Amino acid sequence: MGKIRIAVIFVLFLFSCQEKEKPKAWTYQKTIALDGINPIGIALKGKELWLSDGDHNRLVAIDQNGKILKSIDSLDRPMHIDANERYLFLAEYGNDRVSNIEEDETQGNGYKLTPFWIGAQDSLDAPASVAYYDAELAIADFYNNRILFDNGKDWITFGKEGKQAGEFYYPTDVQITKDYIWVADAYNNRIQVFDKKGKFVKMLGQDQKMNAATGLLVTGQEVLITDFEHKRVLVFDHDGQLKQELKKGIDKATDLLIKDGILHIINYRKGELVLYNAEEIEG
Amino acid sequence: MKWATKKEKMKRTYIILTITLLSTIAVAAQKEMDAFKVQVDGLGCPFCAYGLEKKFKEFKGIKKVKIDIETGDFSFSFPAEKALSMEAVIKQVEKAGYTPITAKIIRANGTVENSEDGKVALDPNKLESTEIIVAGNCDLCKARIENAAERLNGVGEASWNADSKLLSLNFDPDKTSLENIEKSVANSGHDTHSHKAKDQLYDKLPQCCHYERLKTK
Repeated sequence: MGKIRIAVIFVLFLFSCQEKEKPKAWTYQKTIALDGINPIGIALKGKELWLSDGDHNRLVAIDQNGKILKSIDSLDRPMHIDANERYLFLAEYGNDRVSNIEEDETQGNGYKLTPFWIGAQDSLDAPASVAYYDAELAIADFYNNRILFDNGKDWITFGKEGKQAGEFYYPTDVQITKDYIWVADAYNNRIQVFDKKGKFVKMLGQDQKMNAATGLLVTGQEVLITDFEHKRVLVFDHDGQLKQELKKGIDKATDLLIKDGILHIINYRKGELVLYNAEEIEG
Repeated sequence: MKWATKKEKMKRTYIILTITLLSTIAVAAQKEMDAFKVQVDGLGCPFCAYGLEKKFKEFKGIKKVKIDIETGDFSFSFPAEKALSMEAVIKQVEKAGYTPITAKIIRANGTVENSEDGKVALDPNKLESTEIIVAGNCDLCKARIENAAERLNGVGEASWNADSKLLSLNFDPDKTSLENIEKSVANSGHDTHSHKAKDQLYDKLPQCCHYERLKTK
């Protein structure tokens, strides 16, 4: 009986010691100048931070100070990119090509680029983004106003030009999560969510008066979107409730990701990497 | 030995002549390019700029493509022998999803074509100056408003100020009227106090141009 009492007291003590987790908000940390880079897309390949530099037709890996460590040149307007441990996934707007890139010392530049076969009947017109998730692949097909999705077996396509739910007006970014496909519907100024059969599920941010929703990041808790013309990043929960508006340091941003808990936002025009920390807030 | 020197000299002369000839051909070929300058409405981001560039790549032989997304200025050169027309350029800008505001072609032979050609020359003594309020926001609005006024026969110069919202212009009242000018401006998507732009025209404006609507009289 005494042992049980001690155990109960111990458990109660443990609970009393546990602090309630405080809510966090993104807080501006610093801006890093990217000399000679006009970044459009950002991706994490293992621990390497890669940027697509559309103006200079290349991909570059940078260090924490923004210095270029590696470069893959002679591309044709690379846009939003993705990566896993082995591959970079690349959408080239200028030549309608979507490829994976892996390191290969037998190649002249040290990289092997392999275009995806999407099907002759499915010619892309300015692919703006490619996303990878667990053998699945999605492409934002800008001028065709549609998304192509490969579930690992088949390609499906969905969307057409328009303003209704499920329609697009120039999609610029796409991301796949466990259950959904998320699309930055740039000039409809909103985010749209689809299931993996291409069925419309919901939209976010349509009431925020965005002007060109260009870059998207979906985390376990949040959905972040770059509002290009209004020089801000909006942070929503998964239900579309606006949690935060980030403005400091942000100027015509096109993409963002989280590395080591730090939010990395890229400013296209100014050539900058803007960092935000997640800090606890009161209340 | 003497013969060998002569041969070398001849060879050298031949090389120099060949290089000179090739250079001349290259320079001549370079000169035979028409220059195009287009001001485009609705360019906002790199996706738009690269999109415009992509659509113009369909014109084989296009060179020196330059796009400024801040001002909407788009320029390129194209082989003169292909005689790319103003109509084809405007059509291609529209195909890319944007609206050409003005276009100018400087042909390799020196002739200049403007999208606004056909305007009647004005008598400066007949011009009246006036100012009207026109709703708008930004530099894109400015270009659109001024073009809407200036493209009318009878209008001289037009200048819109984003802060005061005043469109200052001069026009020949025998050739056009303030009513016509305001209608033209409203048809470009911008409200005046007398003429409100149709909602569908307003909706089509780029987001940065979505000004606060005016109350019409």
